[in-house]
Order: sequence, then structure tokens, then C-alpha cells
Amino acid sequence: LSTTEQNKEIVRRFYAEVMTAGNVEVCDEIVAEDFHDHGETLFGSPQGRETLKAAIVGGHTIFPDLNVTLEDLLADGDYVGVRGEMRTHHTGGEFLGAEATGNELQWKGIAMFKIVDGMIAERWFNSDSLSVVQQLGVVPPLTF
Amino acid sequence: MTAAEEQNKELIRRWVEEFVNARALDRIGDFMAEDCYDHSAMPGMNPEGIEGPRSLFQTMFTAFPQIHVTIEDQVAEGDKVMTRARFRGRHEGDFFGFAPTGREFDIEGIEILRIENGKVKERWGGINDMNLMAQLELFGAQQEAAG
Repeated sequence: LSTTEQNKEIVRRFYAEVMTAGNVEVCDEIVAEDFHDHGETLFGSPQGRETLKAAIVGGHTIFPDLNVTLEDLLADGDYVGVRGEMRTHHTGGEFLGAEATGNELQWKGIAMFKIVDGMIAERWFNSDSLSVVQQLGVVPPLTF
Repeated sequence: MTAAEEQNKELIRRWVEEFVNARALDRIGDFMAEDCYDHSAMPGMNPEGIEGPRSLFQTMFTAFPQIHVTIEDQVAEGDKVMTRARFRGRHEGDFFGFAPTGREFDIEGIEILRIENGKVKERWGGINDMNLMAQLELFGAQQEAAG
């Protein structure tokens, strides 16, 4: 496999095995210890591999059936771009002040990863967070 | 990196400089196909065709007349380019019914554009609209009927 194909495979594993299956120990194989995140307001920016693992474990307690479907994957040099859809039921606990209703949540996300020596070194991401807070009923819908 | 992939990145860089940062609304057709499709169109906006993006950029240029986009990274593969960029500006005009606040914003956006025949044909992603709303302190603000 070329380096770009290997890098794509690392990102696929991150979403399938870590984000969806919740097997955060896989991070030891594919995420750098000094992982640097450039996240966003709603889902935060965990710095370092252990903080990332803790954040994912925390997310799974609120959204135990979180499922990420990748819809596009691009690779170029050290970078991998990815676009996908998240689906889950809000069953596990309070999130942003909203009680767990059991309702299904669905949102889109887009991210860029930098891979160094086969490990995820940096991540930038942007989720459709306005839609999430509206689905949770935390902010009212807007008119566009 | 093929020559075509490099050309696609260059097209997006020119689009940002010559169209967005120049607020050159009349040049939208140089960069976007008439029959483009926006997979991330805002609720209520027509995803099909160039009129949706034209109306959105008109709104942005009115609301944020000093808007400036700085590209930070690009990833190209095949006919697609992902671009990560910073969007900075000040809320000086009507923004979907929100009266000008004078507040500044500095937010990030990531989008994937598919290029066909030298123009943008499809779009996914965009700015973080929640960060924009939060920085302009629009949550809880009165929104007049858009239009």
C-alpha cells in the first residue's frame, strides 16, 4: 500500500474501531502520544492521546450506540480529509443541559487529519453543531 | 499529486482571493458551475444551481463587508479538494434578519469541493455556524423575518 492509502486506513480504523466500537485502546496503535486537536466549541479539543481516549469514553456513556458512517475519504501527502455522518440515540445521560430523551440524533461532520510515521498527530474538525443543539432543543430553530 | 489535482487546488485558492476576498459577486460564474449542487445548503435554501450560493454570498458580503478568508491547508485527491480556512470579519449589516451587532468573528471552516470542467460542481461542509452564532452573540437575539 502507498503511504496515502495507509494513512486512509488509519483514519478508517479510528472511526470504525475507536469512535463507533468504542475500543479506545486501539488509539495506542494509531494516535500519537502528543496528539494535538484543533476541535470546536461543542465537542471540545482533547489534547494528548490519553485525554482523547477519556473524551471518547465519556462520549460513549452519553451516546452508547454512536455510529459513524464515512461518506468520503481523501488523502494527499501527510493529510487525510474525511466527511461522514454520526447517528446515535441520546440514552446515556445529560448533554449540554439536555436530559437523555432516547431520541435519535443525526449530524454531519468533516475533519482533516495529519499523520506522522503512521500515527494520527493532529486533527481539525467541524461538526454540524448548530443542528445538534437544535435537535437537543438547547437552542430554538432559526429561520434562513 | 497529479497536475490536475494541483490545478484544482489552485482554482480554489483563486476563488478565495479573486471572488470571496474581493467580494466580487459578479464573478461567481467564473468559479461555480450553473448547475452546481450544495449538499450542505442551509435549511430553506435551494441546494440546486448557482442561485443559492449567489444569494448566500450576497448575504455574507452585506452582513460582513470586510470578510476575509485565509486558506490554511488543502487536501486534493481525484476531482475533489478539501480546504481548511479561517474566516474573519465584523457583523456590520443584516444577517438573516439579525440586526448588525458590530461584533467580530474568527472562525474555522472545512469544506470539500468537487471540480468539473474547471468549476465547482458540488460542495460539502462549510463554516462552523454555531461558533459564528456564539461569537456574534446571536443565541437568544431577536431574529426578524428573513428576506
